[in-house]
Amino acid sequence: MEEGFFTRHRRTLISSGILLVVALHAVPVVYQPERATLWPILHWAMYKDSKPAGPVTTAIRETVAVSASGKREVVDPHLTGLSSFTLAKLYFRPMVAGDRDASANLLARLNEERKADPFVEIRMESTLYTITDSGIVKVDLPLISYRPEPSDSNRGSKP
Amino acid sequence: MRRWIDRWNAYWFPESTTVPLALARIIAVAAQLFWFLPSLEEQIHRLQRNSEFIEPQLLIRAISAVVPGEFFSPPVFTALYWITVGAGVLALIGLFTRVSLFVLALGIWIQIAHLYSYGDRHHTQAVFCLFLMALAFAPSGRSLSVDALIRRRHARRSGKTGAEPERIDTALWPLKFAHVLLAMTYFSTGASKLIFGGLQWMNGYTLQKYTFSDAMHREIPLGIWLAQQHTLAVFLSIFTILFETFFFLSLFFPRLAPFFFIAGIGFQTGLYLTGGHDFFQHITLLFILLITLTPEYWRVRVRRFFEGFRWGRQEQARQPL
Repeated sequence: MEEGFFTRHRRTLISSGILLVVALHAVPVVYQPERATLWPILHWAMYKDSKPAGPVTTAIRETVAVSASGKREVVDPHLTGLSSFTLAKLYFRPMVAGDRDASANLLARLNEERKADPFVEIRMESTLYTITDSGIVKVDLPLISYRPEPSDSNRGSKP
Repeated sequence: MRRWIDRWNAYWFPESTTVPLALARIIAVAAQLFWFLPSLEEQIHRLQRNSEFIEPQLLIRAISAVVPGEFFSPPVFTALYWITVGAGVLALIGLFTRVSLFVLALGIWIQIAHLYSYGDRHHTQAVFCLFLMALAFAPSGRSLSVDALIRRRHARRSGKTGAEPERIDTALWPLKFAHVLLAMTYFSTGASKLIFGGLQWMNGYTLQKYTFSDAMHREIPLGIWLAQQHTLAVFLSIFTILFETFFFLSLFFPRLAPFFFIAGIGFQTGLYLTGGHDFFQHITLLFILLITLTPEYWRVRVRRFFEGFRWGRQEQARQPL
């Protein structure tokens, strides 16, 4: 008798847990502000957008920070403490779109705890690769460079 | 209503031995410990290089609200890491199994949620971590564990000998839970492609462009080659949509399940080899489901194999010398 009661009780608890986890998966879909912060409950739309017919291309970018003494360091997860996805989202993509604030913020972040030989310039070198009938064609894209000017004195804050 | 509850119970709580669940525990914990363990070095690097979170995960916000002061510091995370590893070893051998599994799962959850509080997040670990936590609420240590050995010794001492393997109704739900979560996530991914990308998602160019970008950035020769094969990309796009959208059928047609699990392992392996998408946790889960949820599939195949082997031997024996 007692075992029956506990068995039923256990089933109810497990069932409630299962339903709760399943139902929680609706939250990131319908509630945008928490879409990125409910791990392990996630919004599962990945690679969802289609691409039109046309040339297959991709750009490979390397961003370097140049210090006052001319030393170059690659801006990567090791240097910044951010993942490559976060770096691209916060800094690199806005820089490509011409956002000077993003460059200023990146420079500010890099110099935050760097006392000696601060970074004075950010340079983004890009190469465009295109698939053609005769193979992959490589074209260098214009350099994106940022060096603070006097008018930029208010720029630069860590996100 | 009663009928629905009975159907629900029949699906989630069928009677079974605890061996499949124990097997799942051993594989999942071993994979977590030796393959998927978050890097302590990376945790400490993030803590040292960031004075604040960029997008703190809910779990991290909850901890910050409850635990005062210096929780998010290198010494605490070093201790958390080793406690998690210790709990993982205990969960693997099955000593204090449920508590060890809970500590292991919670430790992993905190470490991953912490890594993803700096503006970055990935889908690879989520379902596996939910499964790991589910194992802590199931009788995962009833078989193939030190706990089971101790229990048997106690039973022998008190004169009870249980020759029959124990059958209970709560030994399969974590496996079915993982199956449902995988079906949900695959369906969500496939449906979002159809909703946002439309049928154009299968035009070949979409897959070529995604693959080319990922393969070039990660320097994967097979992906770079695939990105140049338009016809193959069309077929693989169609396969992707069909597999993701219809994986849920494996829930309703158990006979199809092994084929979906095998296709899933192939699909995830293919994504890794061509685009570097490291869904090893999904591969592990699909493998666990393949061997634990579909025993009949394997029983038939193993029997056929041995019958074929025996028949071959008999034929050989009949051959004149």
